[in-house]
Amino acid sequence: MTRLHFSSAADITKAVKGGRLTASEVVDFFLARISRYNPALNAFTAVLAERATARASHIDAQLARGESLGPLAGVPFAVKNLFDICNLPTLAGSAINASNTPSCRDALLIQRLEEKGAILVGALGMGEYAYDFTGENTHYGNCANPWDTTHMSGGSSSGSGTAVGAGLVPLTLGSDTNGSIRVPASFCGIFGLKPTYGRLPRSGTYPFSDSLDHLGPMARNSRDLALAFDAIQGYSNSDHACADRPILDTTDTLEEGVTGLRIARASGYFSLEGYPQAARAVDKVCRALNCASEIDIPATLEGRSAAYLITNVEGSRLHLPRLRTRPQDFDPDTRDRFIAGAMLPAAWYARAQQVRHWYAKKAREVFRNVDVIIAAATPCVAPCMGEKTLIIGGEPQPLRPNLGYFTQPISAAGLPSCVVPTMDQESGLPIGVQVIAAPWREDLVLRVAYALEELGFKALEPDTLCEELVFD
Amino acid sequence: MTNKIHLAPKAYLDLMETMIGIPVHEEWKVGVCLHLANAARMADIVECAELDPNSLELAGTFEPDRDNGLMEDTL
Repeated sequence: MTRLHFSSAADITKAVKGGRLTASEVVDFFLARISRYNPALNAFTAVLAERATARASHIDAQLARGESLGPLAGVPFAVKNLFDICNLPTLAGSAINASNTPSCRDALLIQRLEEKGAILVGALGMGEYAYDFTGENTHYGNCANPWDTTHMSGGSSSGSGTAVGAGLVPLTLGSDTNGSIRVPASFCGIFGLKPTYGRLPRSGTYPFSDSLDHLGPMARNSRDLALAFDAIQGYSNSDHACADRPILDTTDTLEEGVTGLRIARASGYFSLEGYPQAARAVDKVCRALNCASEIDIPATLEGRSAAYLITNVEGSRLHLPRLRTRPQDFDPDTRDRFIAGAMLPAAWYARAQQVRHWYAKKAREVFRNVDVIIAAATPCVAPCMGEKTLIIGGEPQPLRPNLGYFTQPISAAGLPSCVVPTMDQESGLPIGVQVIAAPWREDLVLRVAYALEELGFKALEPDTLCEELVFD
Repeated sequence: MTNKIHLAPKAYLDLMETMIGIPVHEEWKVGVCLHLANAARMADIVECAELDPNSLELAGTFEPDRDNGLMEDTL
């Protein structure tokens, strides 16, 4: 294994269990890679070298004693810094939270990954309080895209996308309220899974918009996503929104193929006139899947608008005490939106909740006629950092809200969605495509993602980072 | 789509700033007004959604088990 940095989690575990690598060697390798590349990328806000080294030694000792190890044994992972990590303050991308009391325990999903043998190596940067699609952050610096460091990583799980895209870790956890896993996955050229709303408990994470917050994994291939997803599933009464559902075995069904699945391309709201980069990506994926049919998810504009208002009001209410006492300490790009959201009429919020229900029902009904829907993940490849407008159909539009144009309605409907990477040859940058299924059918989105991977839609290696630091 | 919401962002901000108790610096007001106008556009779209006008299901919070569970029942 000479290219450990772009190795899959599955291969790393196999090597550790097979005695070809120790968990300590794996951790040392990735800590060295983080040390070398993070200064240019700014993906990590904390590196937990001591903790990771101790944990790796523990796993090696377990192996030496002949104990059975979990399906992620020896796999380094990192989490968006809104996940609680024992002995660290949970930043959620803000300067304000830096003075908070350090957490006394890890977030539940961290605990679940470590129970399966994975090793936490650090906390990752993010847009302030998750209200971001760009990866820019005034307090901690912008997170750079591994394909071109002058371009955005996407956000708000910016560090999670960049760290996997650059091979600093094979697996990360992010959060996705309106697209915050899927936008950076698209821009960084990796796979990202937003599960069904209510699938994963959010306990021990800093909230943004309770009605829409999801957690999920990001990785370099669909098998690693499935392994991680299977490891972190399971009901917990510690999150009121967590549904008590049977656990899926998505790893075992991954290779079942797409034969017999009814796959359609999203039309209507998701039409791609004026989005040439996204159109090329969706065209390629649909050609590969022999998908010629189209389907409209009705009332998507209304659903997206409802999600916009719900997010704005709930996020602003959460931060109202701090908006009153220290508004100057917010990132200017989020502060203005939070202030506006704190002032919106209650009737708008109530109506938005009503419309969200109505839209989600309509979206579910679409799956009577189709199993999987293909849609763009982002309107374009990663814009340059600092860009404030996006040209849509020849017209300049505000960039920040529109980067989530295609992901936000899927959050409103609560549907599972997996981003699969494609490469835009004209720009030389990656752009992702969403694979969407009915509620609770993460198995289907991962199956289609795997099939696409077999057809060549893989996470590629950024030219600037794929050499050096070869493991001996 | 009929525009039903008439919101003058600057006047609304001036009114609400004191009521909500957020000190909004002069230099932030352009940005806040931009977002208020954007939210008003979204509210307009949401208001025009063709829901049953007599529905008594108002602003119930989305519940994963109930809302998503219906999928299995209806298929």
